[in-house]
Amino acid sequence: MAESTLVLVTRAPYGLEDAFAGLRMALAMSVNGMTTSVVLIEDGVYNGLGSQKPEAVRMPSNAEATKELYDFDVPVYVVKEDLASRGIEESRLFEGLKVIPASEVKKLVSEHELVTTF
Amino acid sequence: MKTAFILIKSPSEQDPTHMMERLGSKEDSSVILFEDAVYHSVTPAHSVRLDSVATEVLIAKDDLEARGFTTADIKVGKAVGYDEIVDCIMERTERTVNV
Amino acid sequence: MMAMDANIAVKLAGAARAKGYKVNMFGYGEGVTAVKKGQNPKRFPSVGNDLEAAGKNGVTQAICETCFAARGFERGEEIPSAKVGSLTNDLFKFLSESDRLVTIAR
Repeated sequence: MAESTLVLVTRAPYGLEDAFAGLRMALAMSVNGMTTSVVLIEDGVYNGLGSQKPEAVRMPSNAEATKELYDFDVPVYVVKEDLASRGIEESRLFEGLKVIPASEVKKLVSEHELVTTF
Repeated sequence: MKTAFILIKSPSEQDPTHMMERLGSKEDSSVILFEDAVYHSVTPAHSVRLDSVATEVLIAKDDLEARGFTTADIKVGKAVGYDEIVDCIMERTERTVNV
Repeated sequence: MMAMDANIAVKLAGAARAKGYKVNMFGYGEGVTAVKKGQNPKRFPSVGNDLEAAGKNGVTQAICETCFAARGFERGEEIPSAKVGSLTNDLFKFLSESDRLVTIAR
């Protein structure tokens, strides 16, 4: 009987619904009291940019969907190497995200009973 | 922490081994190939790469055969039925991760 | 384009049931189309029919209503074995009572 879920967000925002779907799933688990964590990894790190303007493509904001998780104490991690390889400075991320080295993702996987990828 | 990685995409579409290395270790990783991911097991370069990140490679036999390959073509892993895949997920590993 | 991903999920569910495991399936995003009633793929396997058979075999099924509505489907358009539900209620319940989560998605 699972008590914890890790959501890996691997896709960039707005071209596909996947990243948003992953964030909403994390919200649904956390509001019910399940221990939930999110990792923005690979192209998923693009969801962390503070300067997103989703209204330009009439989409819901992945940044806001991420920040809603903070109300339920869901940690949202961003992989440092994936930011660097895409040339994104950490200063461009919105507040509350936790930048971690890729080596820590393995530990997060082991700390959660269920893992899903979006 | 034993992990079963689930692959469904062709190796030409995505190299999953980078993520597998990040999320697990070879000694604790199994990988299950469905649909176009079965091509990982029959192409020289991809099979070597997959073998470097997992100790167990299971190939959905029906997906392999549907694509014109047989067990004789396999360079890494073994072709199995779904019952064997369920055993891998439920008994031999502790969690699954789709990559 | 029609993907075979849902067919894989149904086959895996059937194999797990055959071994005596309890199986829940949840359709999310594009996955909700698998439960649309009246699918007629002609020469391709009908995942709707396979899901109905799985339901009779004890596989519990639910989908995300928001995703269903986003694709123009309404309650009542789902196959009888599937419940039009939600992440908050159904997926949470499924996950909280599960030992394994298998995600079949691209």
